[in-house]
Formats: sequence, structure tokens, C-alpha cells
Amino acid sequence: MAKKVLIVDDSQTVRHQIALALRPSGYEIVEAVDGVDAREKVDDSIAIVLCDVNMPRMNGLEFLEAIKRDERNASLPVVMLTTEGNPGMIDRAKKAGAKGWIVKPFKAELLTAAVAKLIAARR
Amino acid sequence: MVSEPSRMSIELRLAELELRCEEYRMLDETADAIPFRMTPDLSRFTYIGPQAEGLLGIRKTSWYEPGFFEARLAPDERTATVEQCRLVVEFGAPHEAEFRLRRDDDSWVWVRCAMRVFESKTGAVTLTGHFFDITVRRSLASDLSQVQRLEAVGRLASGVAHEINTPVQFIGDNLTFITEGVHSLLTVLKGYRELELGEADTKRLAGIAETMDLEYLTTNLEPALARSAEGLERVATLVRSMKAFACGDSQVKQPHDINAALISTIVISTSEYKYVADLKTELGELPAVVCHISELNQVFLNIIVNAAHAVADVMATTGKRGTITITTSREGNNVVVAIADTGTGIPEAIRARIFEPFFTTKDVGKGTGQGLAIAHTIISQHGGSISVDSTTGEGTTFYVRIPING
Repeated sequence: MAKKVLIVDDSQTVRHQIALALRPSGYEIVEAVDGVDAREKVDDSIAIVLCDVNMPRMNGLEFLEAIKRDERNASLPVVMLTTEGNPGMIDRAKKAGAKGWIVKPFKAELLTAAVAKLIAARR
Repeated sequence: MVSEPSRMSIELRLAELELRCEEYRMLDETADAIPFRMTPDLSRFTYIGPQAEGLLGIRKTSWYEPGFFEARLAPDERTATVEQCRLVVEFGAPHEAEFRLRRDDDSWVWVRCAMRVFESKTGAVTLTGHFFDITVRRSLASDLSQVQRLEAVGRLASGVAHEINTPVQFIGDNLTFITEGVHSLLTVLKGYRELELGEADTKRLAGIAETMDLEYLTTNLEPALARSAEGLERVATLVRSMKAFACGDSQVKQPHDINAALISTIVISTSEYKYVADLKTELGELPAVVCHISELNQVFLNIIVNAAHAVADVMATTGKRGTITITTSREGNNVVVAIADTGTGIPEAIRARIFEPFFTTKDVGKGTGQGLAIAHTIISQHGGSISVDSTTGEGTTFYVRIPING
């Protein structure tokens, strides 16, 4: 069965671009428009979460901290994808358990490599 | 035992290979891209192209010192940049990051860093890549956005000035009316007080006059109105200056009075210098100059604000107010505006670099390092020149030369 990647970003263009980069590797894509939407879509079937930081309603950091409070998501890898470079926010994300903080723009190669390695490492 | 001919051919091949090697090295070490190799924990460079010396003005031997890379990163970008490098090492995929590196003289260079992981045949892993100096590209982009922002502020200012102008106009008209009316009423009152009245009436009126403090009113009403008119005139001058400062710049240059422009700019910048310096003007007789006047106003404003900051720095240590002197004169086909201050002066080491974009010695948040770079661009576009004369501890004079005929 195809691995499910949850993409959380309020920009449809960005979600579309990330999906395009990942599709050749055969992942199934699940999209969410903000933290609130993403929380409803996180379940056992999700293999990895790629998450924006600045979003309406619930931002990426709040979302990350919220799902990591749930034991069942302890091993779920989350990678932040953002234009944000604020040191305090990066530290906060790392503390909450984020596996990486990729600053946009990034190369598709880095993203696919990160997704493949993190999913493999989880198993 | 190798036979003579084949030994010759091996030597030949070796020489050939050495030449190839040298050619490749030449290619890599003279290109605009600066090659580097670093330990995967970023703790030190294991190779750096010789071009790196020019990039930061720092000798190659220093580049090899432990911790050099991280120490040169801007504090607010360090975490993100280190994380980008770490991702490349951890996931083994290429990535590009843009960040600033601090030069020897504490100015900043913008670099793009294209990097990847390299594993040698012996299994040693390094972070390998190239630095590209993108300072110019970055500054062009931000120069442009800065100019656009100034334009927007200018438009806003001229709009606000217009909005303030209308009430200033009718307050002024009414104030004139009230002043004349008060004068007439006081005259009438004086006439009444000279009337011969009965004792009872005189006493009653004196009582009212006492209660209402008529003496005080008659002496102070008119001066109070005069002071209001004076205050209003100051508002009107400021508004006129704002309008003149931001006057809608047409695409073509037009003849303008540089002295008048300077006076508006001085009014606009009053709040920047008035607590730290006295401002003197020695304005010579000038012909009209064909120019984009609001751009020149921007140049004058930037220099005056810098002068005010330099003088304020002196006042912070000595407590003494400084002087800013603005002189204009004609020199052949040019108009010369000299703006002199009694500030800290510009140290010789950095004097040559003050017109570079992003070059600033001011504290974070006080200056963007764009003021003089923009001034330089604007004056060059006018076919003029801008130069500086400075003595540390005595002060600085900026000379702006603008051709009269545009």
C-alpha cells in the first residue's frame, strides 16, 4: 500500500508543488489547509507530515505541539517547510520533536530524500 | 624493470595528468563560485578556494580555524543556516541556502551556498559545495524596494499634507476674523468705559469687570491670538514643505530651485537634529537646476539625518551640541551642495565603503545601510557626483555636485 504523506499549507500552490515533487515516488497525498484541518487528518495511516509554519487558525508550531502531546504520534515524523528562519521558532519546533526545518525555496531532491529516509527510519 | 620507451610514455602521461589537474584547479579557483569542503558537523573547513580571501577580506589560514563558519554567520540566521547544512548531511541530498557572512570590516556579504554531501572512496563524509557572492543582486532587489517604499511614503505624505492644508486654511481665515473682531470689541469696550455713568452703575460694572478679570483679558487676548497665528503659520510651513518635498515627480526632469528644496527638507528633518545641533545655512545664488527634485530631496534628507546621528553620537559622550552647516554655490556648470557636521567623523578604514549598499555601522534598527547607497545611485543618475571629506573626531562634509542642465 502506498505510504500517505500529509501536506499542511494554507497555499494551494505550495501544496500542489510539494505533491508534484513527491508523486513520482508513489506516495499517496493527503492535504490540509491549516493546523485545525490537519489535526483532524492525522491518524495511524499517515507516514509523515510536511508542515508550513505561518498559517491561519492554528499555525504549524501549535499543530506540531498539539499532535506530539498525543503518545500515539510520538514516532510520527514531522518536517517543517517554511520561509521562516526565526531561531526561537526553530528551537521550539526541535524541542517539540520536528525532524527538520527546511527553508523554502528548496530542491525537490532534498524533500524526497528526507521523506524516504524518515519513513524508512520509522519502520 | 620497465623498458625505456614505456617509461618515457608513463612520464609523458604523468605530465599530461598533472597539466589536466592544474587546468581543473585553475577553473575552480578562478571562477566566481568559491569551492569549499567542510567537516559534516560544520566545525571546520577542510578546503576553501583562494577566492574566499577576497570574499571576506580574511586570509585562508583563518578560514581553516575551528568554528570559523558559524562565527561568521549573522546571529539571527545562524540557527536556520546550520539546520539547512545539517539536513544536507542527514538526508544526503543537495540543497541551496542564502545567508550573510560577516567580513573582516564587519560589513556583510550575501552568499548563496549550493551544497551536497560527498563521500570519498575511503568513506570520509564531507559537506561540499560552492559559495556565490550575491550581495549585488540582493542589494539591487532591496534598493528597488526601498526606493518604491520611499515613493509610497512620499505620496502618502503629500496626501496627508493636502488633507491638513484644508483645515489649516479655514482655521487661519477664522483666526484672522476673530483677531479683528476682538480688536473691534476691545475698542468698543474702551469707548463704553469712558462714558460718564451714575455711581450705582459704575460700581455694578466694576464688580462684573472684577469677577471676569477684564484687566487680564484686555492685556492678554490679542497676544494669545497672535501666538496662535504664529503656531498655525508653523503648521502651514511644515505642510507646504511636505508638499514640496514629495511634489509629484514627473517622469521628465524639470527646472527647480535647489535652495528652496533644501529649505523644505530642513523643515522636514527638524525633529532629527533640533535636540543635538544648530543648523546654519549659507545659500548662494543659484540658477534653476533641471532635475527630479523629490529624488534630490531624498538625498539631502539622508545626508542631514546622517549628520544629525553623527552629531548626536558626539553629544552622547561630551554633552556638547554640534553644528550642521549647509552651503550652496555654483561651480561652473554645476551646483554644489555641501553638508557639513561637527560629528564623530568617518574612520579612514571604512570611508571608501560608505556608499556601498548595506554598509552600516549603526546599531540594528537605526539604519538600514541604504541611505548613502541610494543617494549615490540618485546622484549618478543625475550625472552628478557625491564625495566625502572627513576627519575622525572633527566632523564630516558631504559634497553633492549636480549639473545645472540635467
